[in-house]
Amino acid sequence: MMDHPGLDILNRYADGDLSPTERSAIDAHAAACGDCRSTLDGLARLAAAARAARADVEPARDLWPDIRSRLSPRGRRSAWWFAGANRPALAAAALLLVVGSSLVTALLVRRPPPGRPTPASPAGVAFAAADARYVSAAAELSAALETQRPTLSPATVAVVERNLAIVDSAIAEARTALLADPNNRALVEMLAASHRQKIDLLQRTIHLLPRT
Amino acid sequence: MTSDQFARDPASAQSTPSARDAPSGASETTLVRRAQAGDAGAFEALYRAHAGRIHGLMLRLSGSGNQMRAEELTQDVFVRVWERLPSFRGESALGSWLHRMAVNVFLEQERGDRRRVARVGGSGDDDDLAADAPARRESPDERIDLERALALLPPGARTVFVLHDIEGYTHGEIAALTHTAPGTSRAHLFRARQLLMERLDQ
Repeated sequence: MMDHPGLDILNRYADGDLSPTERSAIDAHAAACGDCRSTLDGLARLAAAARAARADVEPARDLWPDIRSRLSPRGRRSAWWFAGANRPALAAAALLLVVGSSLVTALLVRRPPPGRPTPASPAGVAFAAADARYVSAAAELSAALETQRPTLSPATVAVVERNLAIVDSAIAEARTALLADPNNRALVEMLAASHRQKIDLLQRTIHLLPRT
Repeated sequence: MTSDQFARDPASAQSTPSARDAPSGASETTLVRRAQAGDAGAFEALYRAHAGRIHGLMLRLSGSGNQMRAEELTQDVFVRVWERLPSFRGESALGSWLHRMAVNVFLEQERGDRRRVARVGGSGDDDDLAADAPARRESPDERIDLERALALLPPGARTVFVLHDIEGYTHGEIAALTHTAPGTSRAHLFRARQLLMERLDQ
């Protein structure tokens, strides 16, 4: 009887990767070797379980509203973000947005209003998850955009600040409402969706900047 | 223009009448064309048709206990699909194209996680980390099924097992996706199978 084949050979046998001659040798060995037969049986059971595991699993909650909030419109790249501003201006806008929005996030997540416990509701959990995602993306964007900052002129900064004011106004409204009602899931999702929408826009803006 | 104008764009509007109005017999090809043209309602119909498959894949790749991460990944996949859909020419089935994109999204994020771990002083190698960590054992009284056993595998081994044994990718395809050699894919797979058999035999 041949020596015990290695586990890699038994795996290749299970995968049908051996030649007919090699398979015959393994068959002959396994017929007389309980250990190898047991391993082959285990591999066959595992393969059957793997095939059965290929099942659809619907998400426990409807993910579409969050996805939809992150979809950028097609063919609208000349919208207000891009009107009247050159690429460095857009980079600066992106950077300032990230900083400003991070501050909002920090206020919301790290410093709950006095007398109010940190929300442990599903809404709070949902926001924390969305926020973690936002913070991660914002950090990467900040690093990318920082490289454009030295190229900015005062006029560019003015454009940036005007655009930032519009965006901050929208954030401030959501923030005020959320501070007054921190467990309101709809508000949490609204603010998180705003963050994500801006991140998505910022990413697209960066892609339009010339590579240095 | 104001930010309100963006909020009224079809892709971000809260109301998606075209999804509700989509005829039941509308072919996927028609939905794809509409979504390529910017119809978020058509894209919603595509999402609903494929969400279960993609979410199931993300659950298995990220470890079945990681529901929140699987949901985040599923969202990321469909946002990426929306961005790339204009380049979809229908040369392969949408489901296959979407599946491949989902795997890429997962692998990109996994590589990003490894880089972040490396930056804060870790090795960045999830498998090394898993090997160094104390073995995570289920209670002897607890039934171990494949899904739970999968969640206990080192990430690299789990990824290859899911892609090869569950999803049907070849070692060559996995090697291309993971920027490794087919031999590395095989080594991960054989290790995964060995660990799974040990756990399932407990």
